[in-house]
Amino acid sequence: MKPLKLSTIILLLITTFSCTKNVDFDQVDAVEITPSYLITLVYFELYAPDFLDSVNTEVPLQLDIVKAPLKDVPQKHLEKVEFTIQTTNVFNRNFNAQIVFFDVNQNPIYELDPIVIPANSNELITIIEIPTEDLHYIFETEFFAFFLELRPSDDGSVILPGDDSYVEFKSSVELFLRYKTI
Amino acid sequence: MRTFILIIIVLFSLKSFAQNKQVLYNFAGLPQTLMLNPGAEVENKFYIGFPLFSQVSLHGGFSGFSAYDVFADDGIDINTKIDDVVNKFGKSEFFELTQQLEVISAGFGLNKTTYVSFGYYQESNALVKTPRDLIDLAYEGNTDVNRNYAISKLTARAELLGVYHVGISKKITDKWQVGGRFKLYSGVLNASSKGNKGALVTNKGVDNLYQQELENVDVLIQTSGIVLDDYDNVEPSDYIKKLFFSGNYGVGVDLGFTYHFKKQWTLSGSAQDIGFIYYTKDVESYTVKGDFKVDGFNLGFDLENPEDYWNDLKDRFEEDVVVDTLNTNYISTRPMKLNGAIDYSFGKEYDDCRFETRPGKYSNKVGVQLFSAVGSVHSYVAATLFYERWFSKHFQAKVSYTADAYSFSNLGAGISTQFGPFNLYLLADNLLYLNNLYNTKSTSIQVGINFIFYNK
Repeated sequence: MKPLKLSTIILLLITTFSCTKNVDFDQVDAVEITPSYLITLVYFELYAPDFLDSVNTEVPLQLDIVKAPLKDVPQKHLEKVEFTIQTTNVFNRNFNAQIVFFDVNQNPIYELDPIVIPANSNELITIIEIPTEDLHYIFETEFFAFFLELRPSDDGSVILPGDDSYVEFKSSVELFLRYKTI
Repeated sequence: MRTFILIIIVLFSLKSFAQNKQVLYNFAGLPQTLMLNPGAEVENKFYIGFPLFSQVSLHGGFSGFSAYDVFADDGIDINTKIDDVVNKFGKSEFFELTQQLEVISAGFGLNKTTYVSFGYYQESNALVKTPRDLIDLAYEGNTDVNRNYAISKLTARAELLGVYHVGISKKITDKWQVGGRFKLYSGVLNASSKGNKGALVTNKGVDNLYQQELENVDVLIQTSGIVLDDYDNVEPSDYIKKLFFSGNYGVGVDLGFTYHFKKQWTLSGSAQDIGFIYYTKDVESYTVKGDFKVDGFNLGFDLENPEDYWNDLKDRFEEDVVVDTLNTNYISTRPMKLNGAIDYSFGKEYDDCRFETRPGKYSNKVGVQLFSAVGSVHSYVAATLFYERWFSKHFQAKVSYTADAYSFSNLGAGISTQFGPFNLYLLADNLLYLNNLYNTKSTSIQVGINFIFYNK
């Protein structure tokens, strides 16, 4: 067989058998990637003396402030924010906890649903979700304030310095993202 | 975003085991075989490669999945198919692109036993080895508590360089041919990251629900010619000039031999690119080192002495995890390639009067080849079975079947034609995927034209 003829046959075979099966690159428009990220959040453990002032008078409301530059969170792709809160309350009195978000002008712009921490409750899990329509408040937040209120007792009793009761608060947030091509 | 995802998926859909030129190795006495084994036997009087086209070599791909795996028009939701390919992702997969272009190539027989070849070629290559952990971290997130998302297998290399070379192949006995090639590298661009350590882990916490940790992170990224003070005045011609004289120079050698240990049996082997480049121009390197644990913000409820939780956390992070920028020169070793082959030749050609048409020559050759790329970023081994046929002085062909850690079905083929001094060769592999090119997980091709002159 002459070499030219043979090489022609080989090239013909290659071009004859080289083909493509149906692919549809437009499917990329339907790609959705949905990772979620856990971030550890605030925690504390407060004992009875923490609710007393210097003359042992009960101070039922505790407040702390955390600057929160949340503008770095990928806003466009954030679909849901879910807080997980675990509380333990050894006091025989209820607590109310609430997180309020403030903007740069120190105006309150959003409040998470208040959390009731029942008296004598052990490792209670509460999940709070920020609805999609409220997510924009996250990005307008400059700082958030954490309020913890010791509710009055039914019998009017107050806590004493020697009381060894405590309230424990642990939390995390899960950010649900959804990346779409269009 | 659409274009970005499309490009990423298509790029990652090509699969290659680059730099293994298993079809070219020892094929048809082509001058380019001297680039794989400087101790190869060539029989021409002299040759000149067609400028810029004596060898165009391309490899590219990804060891994870094919374009067809993701984009097949099969009625299955693309997100389901992406789930499938992510689930099948190995502990680490690699993406690689390699390109070589011979600008000048020539050689001549100095005497009956010595052959000299020389030239200049340009090479670019990039390799990214991605650990499964990072893919899962990006695709699913970090909700798998107690799992170490390790970065230790994250390595990458990218470079653009020009290579001047001169080699000599010498027949020292009837059985032995040895050779060497000296190379002068001119490195234009380089980036590499290797030997990285560390992990991101979210553990069940004690003080809080979770404790998150950057665990013993030690990352080094070295660059040269990439981070510039002024990008506005950079022209493509600047890079072309640097391909010849960059200021980042290095040296290397190729060594090889051919040994006819028995009649019809030949053993050959080579080591390519035993060398390094010393990068001194526009060098910028980055290190990240440290260990950082965070439980969250421990609220103190003391507004008289308010704590700046966020900035305290930032300060502690910057103290524990040191990010540094360095401008110290560095050495980058070249990825070394090892070739070895044993072959058996048989079948002589006779004319009508039963005289040998090529005295002492055989028309068929079968054998086994081994290839190994040994690099600081990535290493792998490949084994090849081959059959080579000399049809006539005008036409030779070779088929190969290669297996490596990633594929056991790589069928390659090559042809070399010669008419007068005009020589054209075309080599390619992964021909089994010709029936559906989108399913190709390996792509490799070498093509070139030479003008080869033989002794009458």
